[in-house]
Formats: sequence, structure tokens, C-alpha cells
Amino acid sequence: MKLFALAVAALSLTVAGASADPIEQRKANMKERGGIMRILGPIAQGKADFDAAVVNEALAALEANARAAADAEALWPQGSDTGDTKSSPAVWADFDAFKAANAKYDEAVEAAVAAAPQDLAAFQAAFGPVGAACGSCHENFRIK
Amino acid sequence: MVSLRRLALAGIALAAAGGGAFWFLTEPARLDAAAVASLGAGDAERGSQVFWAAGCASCHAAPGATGEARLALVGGERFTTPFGTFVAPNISQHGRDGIGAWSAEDLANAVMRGVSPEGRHYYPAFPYTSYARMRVEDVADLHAFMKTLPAVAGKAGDNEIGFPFNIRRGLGLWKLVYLDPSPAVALDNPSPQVARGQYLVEGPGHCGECHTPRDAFGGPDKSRWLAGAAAMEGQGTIDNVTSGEGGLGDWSEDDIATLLETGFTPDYDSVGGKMASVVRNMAELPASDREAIAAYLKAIPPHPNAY
Repeated sequence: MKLFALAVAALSLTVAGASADPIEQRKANMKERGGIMRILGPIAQGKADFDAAVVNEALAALEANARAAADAEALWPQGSDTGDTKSSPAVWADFDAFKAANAKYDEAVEAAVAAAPQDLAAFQAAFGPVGAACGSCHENFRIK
Repeated sequence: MVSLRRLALAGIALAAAGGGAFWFLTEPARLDAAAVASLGAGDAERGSQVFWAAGCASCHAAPGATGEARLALVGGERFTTPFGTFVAPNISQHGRDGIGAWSAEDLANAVMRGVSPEGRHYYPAFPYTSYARMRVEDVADLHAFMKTLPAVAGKAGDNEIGFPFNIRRGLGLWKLVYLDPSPAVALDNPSPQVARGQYLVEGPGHCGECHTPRDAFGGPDKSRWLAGAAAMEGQGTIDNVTSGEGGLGDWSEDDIATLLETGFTPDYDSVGGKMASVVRNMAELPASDREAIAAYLKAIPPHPNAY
């Protein structure tokens, strides 16, 4: 059973990216996340029109993207603190706190998907905690 | 033999003169009487705006404090720099551990001249080179507001600074060179909005403390004002916020004002590190102040990245 789990983990790691470099992997994940935020952000701020189908599709994409980065040990392993990364040394100095911040974001995204917002007010209410989770994790665990 | 003795005496005299000159040049200089006279009574409500514009809570609230706890100015945040580790002191209203006993004049001399009530220099980790550009009346308002904040017991730790930077008196020389209340950039006939932005950015907002590169002695390089810099703490860089290459050239004023309010860039990335705390302060200001900052940043000379 343990071997099976390991095999699955190894397989998913291979599937996750052609590059096994965790810095490249997490940067690609964050870049994808940013692309989805560029759809949702302007709608939340009232700078683009609300469309329930667009919003819910983007939220689903955000959830898939969050799951791909849910395993903090895989994407922020020991030793991946140097090089072309903006991850703060605080990630490794207090890994439990970092994992909690990562998980808090995941929960906020899952809650937003579960809310399945059908109007702007409902979307803004569901999306607020997502934005707040971005900010608090970046404040503590990214160098800028 | 006589000439040797003469030489020695001359040497001693020279050293004494040098020491005297050092002592004279490094004398902590307070605000003049006219400035002190214009302090006035102070208005706590206006002072709350000065408090957020000046970002006091970002360094002096307990590390990681959120919400109301940002008004408990107990200190303790540590700043690890090439000059040593600076620890933000308790500036709550506690009489013994904080600054509860300070007059408005004491606060103004600390904030605008970097001089403690006992007449000692503060280290410029306390951004008095920026605060020197503040209006004295604003500091009086700030004092009135701070009087409404809680007294919190507990001294923050001491600075950990090695030789020669541990000789505070030497800061007098540093101040002679770098403590300059005149504007950081000369703007040609600025609109009232741009002038307001200039005051906020160069004075209380102390944006240049991180966003302007420093020279070998730690003083701001005003020829590359706000052009970005190597971070004083740890690795990493601070962004260029001029309109030059690598800066905010393709941002609109609305983009800048939105970032200061929400923390989101036009690409919907959210700012991190110390800037997140700055955004919390800026979000407390009227929208017109964030718009004024944006207008000023668009008006200053563009520079390519300075890091």
C-alpha cells in the first residue's frame, strides 16, 4: 500500500511538470494562478461585467490550480530556498505556518467554488477571503 | 629632542582640536524655536490620518499584529541590516516603557530631527530623514492622536550593532550630510494634487527609505529617487516606482491608487513582504490621498531600475 502511494506520488510528480525543479514548478503554478486572477479580479472590482458562467469556470480552474500546489513539501522542499525565487526564508524557518497559510488559501478557494455565486454580490463575498489569503501569504512568505 | 617634544605637543593639540570639532559637529540639533512655536494644540482626528500616512504601526506594533492590535505600539519588530540589527522600540503611551511622558515638542524633535528627549541621536532606521519634511502642525496632530492610544508595558529589546556604528555620536556627521528637509525632487509648478502627493511620499509616507537606493554610507541617492533598490534586509529587491524602464511606466494613476488601496497590481498579483503592511496603512487614507500619491509618482523624473 505504501509502495503504491509512493508510485502514485512519483507518477503525479512526473505528470505535474516536465521540469522536476521545484522552483520552476511553483513559479509555473503561480503564473497560472495569476492568469486566472486576471479574469476574476476585474469582475470583483466592478471593472468587468459579471457573468456567472465565466466566474464559475474560472473558480473551478483556480481550485484545480490550488490542488496542484497543495503539497507544500513537494513544491517547497528543503534546499529550494536559493536561486531565482521570491519565496522568503520564512517558508523554511516556519514551515508549519507556511503550510497553514497555503491550506487557508485552498480552503478559501474551495469555499468560493462551493458557493457557486450567481450574482456579483455573492461572488464578491466568496472571493474576498481568496484575495485576503493571497495577501497574507505573500506578506509573510514572499520577499515582495 | 626639543623639536620632537614640540611635534608631540602639536600632535596632542591637533587631536584635541579634532576631538573638539567632532564634538561640535556631532551635537544633536533640535528644531528651532520658530518651528516649536508653530506646533499648536494638535487635533487627534487629523492626527489619525497622519499616523496612517506615516506608517507608525508597520514598525512599532507587535510583529504580526492585525486589526486593533496595530494601535498597541509595543515595538519589538527586528530589522536585520548590513549595519546591524535594529529593534523598534515601544512608542505606546506607557510612561516608563513607552513615550507617554513626551510633549509634542519631544515627539517633533524625535520624528523630524532624530533627537531623543535626552538629546541622543536616533539611528536612521527610524526614517527621520523623510519625516524631516513633515509639517510641524502635522506632528502636533500626530501627538494628539497618539495620546488616545493604549499604554502597553514592556521594553522592546536593544539594538545589536557593532563598531563603529554603535557610536551614536557619530550619527551627527551622518546627519550633517543626509538630514535635509528640502524636497527630494524639484517639480516644475506642481498642481495642488501633485504637491499633496509629494508631501505624502517624501515626508510622512517615507517611501524613499526603501524605494530609493542608498550610497556606501547608507544615505539616499536622490539622483535616482524612487528608482528601486537592493533590499536593506535579506536578499531581494524593492521595485522601481518611477516611470523609467522596469518601473511603473505602463501603470495608470488608477492602477497605482488601486494597489495602494487593495494590494493588487494591474496583473492581479498581490503585493507581499513589508509592502502588504504599507497597503493596510494607505487603505486608511482618503481616496484623494492615494490619487495624489499616484499623480506624484507619474510626475517625478523617470529612472531605469537602480538595482
